[in-house]
Amino acid sequence: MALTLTAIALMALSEANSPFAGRMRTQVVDAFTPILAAISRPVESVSTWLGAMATASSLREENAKLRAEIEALRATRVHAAQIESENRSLRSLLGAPHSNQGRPIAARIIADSGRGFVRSFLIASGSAHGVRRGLAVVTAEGLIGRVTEVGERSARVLLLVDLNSRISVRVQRTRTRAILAGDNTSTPRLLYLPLDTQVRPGDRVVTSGHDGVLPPGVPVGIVAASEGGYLRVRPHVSWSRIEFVRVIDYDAKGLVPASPSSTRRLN
Amino acid sequence: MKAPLTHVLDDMARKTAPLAVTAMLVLVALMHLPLPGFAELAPMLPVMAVFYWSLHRPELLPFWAVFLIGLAIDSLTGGTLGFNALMLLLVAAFMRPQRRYLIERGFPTHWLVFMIVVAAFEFLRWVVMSALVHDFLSLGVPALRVLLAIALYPCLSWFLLRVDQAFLKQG
Repeated sequence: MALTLTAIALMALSEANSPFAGRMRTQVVDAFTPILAAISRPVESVSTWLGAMATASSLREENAKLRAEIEALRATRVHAAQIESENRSLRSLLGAPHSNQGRPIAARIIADSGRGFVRSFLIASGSAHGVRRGLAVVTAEGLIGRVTEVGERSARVLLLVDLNSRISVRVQRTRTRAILAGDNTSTPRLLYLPLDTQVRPGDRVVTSGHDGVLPPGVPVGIVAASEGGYLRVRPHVSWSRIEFVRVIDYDAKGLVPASPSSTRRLN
Repeated sequence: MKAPLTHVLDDMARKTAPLAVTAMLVLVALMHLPLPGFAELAPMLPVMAVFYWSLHRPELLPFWAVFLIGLAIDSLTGGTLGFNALMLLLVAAFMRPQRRYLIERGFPTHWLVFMIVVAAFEFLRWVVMSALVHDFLSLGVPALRVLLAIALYPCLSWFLLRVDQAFLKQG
């Protein structure tokens, strides 16, 4: 009976966003981090091995596809370099600050609590590595979520599909701003779009940067077909394949210099 | 006469085996495994273990241990603190009085009771979570989770029985 009452009291504290509940969670996670990190390594090796086995049969076909893709990307790279240089000189002419994409902190996923009714990952980097609450977490494919709890050696990443996730985004083609709201399905909803919106399935969605925490222009996903009266977004990220992530230490005021060489491989 | 060290260690292993195995299943449930269906099934692994030990060895998985397991799940998954602790306590509290009648029955009866317990557990979890977020959450994934848990209970039960025989039957 006493334990039941304690559990109910803890639920009340937790729902009231008591700092005690948050501290308790981060301390337990910190205590378990070495164990989770240790057992996640063999799991990661097995996953990599299984992935290699699965792709071995299609290597020749994939090789040809990748060669074609490299050719196409070479042309795009030349074009992108021209645009970047033009953008830089125009910014200099106007006196506009250069865009700042933040300092990346690399981290390994040690646990996946993206089940049940909460969608989150635990990463083996915390305040000791420069991770702070609210920072964006990305992979090479795009945004996966933001940091919601930080311990000394670990942090929790709330995925953008979680029910509690709200992210300020922009539809790239129309420059329309919206809020991407998770609802525990694999395709979060686009909220607060203008009534006369021109947004349509297939449009790319990126972060808007208006919240001052997430860097602007981070790829999020593609607008999927309208469902239940809402336009939905299919995230670029394939959740089951992520092993490492980058936490972006972004400062909206541009105080943190952007430097790719400052990437830290932690853990 | 003082018991030899091996006996002390053996006794300790015997007494902590259910708690240790349940804690291990909590950690396994958190693994980032690319196995089909694992993500849906994972939250049910500790429930299955609490059900099994509450039925077969309740004295070795007391309420305080069930509470700690639940609290660890809440902390590690980032959910509402105390929620899983309460839910697992309900499973353990429900099983204690039923044990007298169930223990002499065969596995099919145990499995049938597990189906009822796990469905009620997931439904209650869904009701509480929906109330907490002031919205009706989808019932599709919880239903799939229940079906997977029911399908896999015989396998996990077989594994826990091996643990039971290896550590506990000697005691």
